[in-house]
Amino acid sequence: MSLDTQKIDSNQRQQIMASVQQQLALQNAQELLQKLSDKCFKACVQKPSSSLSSSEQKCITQCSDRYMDAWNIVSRTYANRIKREQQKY
Amino acid sequence: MSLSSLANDPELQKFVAAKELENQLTTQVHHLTNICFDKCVESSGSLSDLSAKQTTCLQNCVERFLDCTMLITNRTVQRIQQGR
Repeated sequence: MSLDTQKIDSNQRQQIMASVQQQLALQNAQELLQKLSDKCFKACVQKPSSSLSSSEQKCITQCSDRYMDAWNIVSRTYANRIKREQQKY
Repeated sequence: MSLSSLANDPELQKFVAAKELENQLTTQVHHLTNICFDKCVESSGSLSDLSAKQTTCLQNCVERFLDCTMLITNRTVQRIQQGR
């Protein structure tokens, strides 16, 4: 622990960085789950009944797989586009 | 550990700034996926493995949306400069 009370030591820094990273990852996961539920409920459950039918369950599973696939494609495309824009300058 | 010691730590500041930027980009990806999924996947009806057509549509959707945003930005700046 540093004697200089105005500085944080590397241990504390690591902890803070890990904590920030964790919070951001959690935030991202929550956003994704929210989007998945919204999209796939809308797409797959037209008339809510007393339980999810097996076809509704299958649809929801496929929908969330496809949404994640789409997310990955969008993420890659976006990153590449940014790189291309940066190379212009 | 005080707040001022956190604010004065340059490595931490750099890290936080980088993470903020990363977070902005991730938010944008969520936004784009939301729009492009509707246009390219949901509307085409099929939900089993993304077809090549759907994949191309998603890629085009991202590029065109960004083109659209840039166009609107330029146009808006133009209007402001013209005093409208």
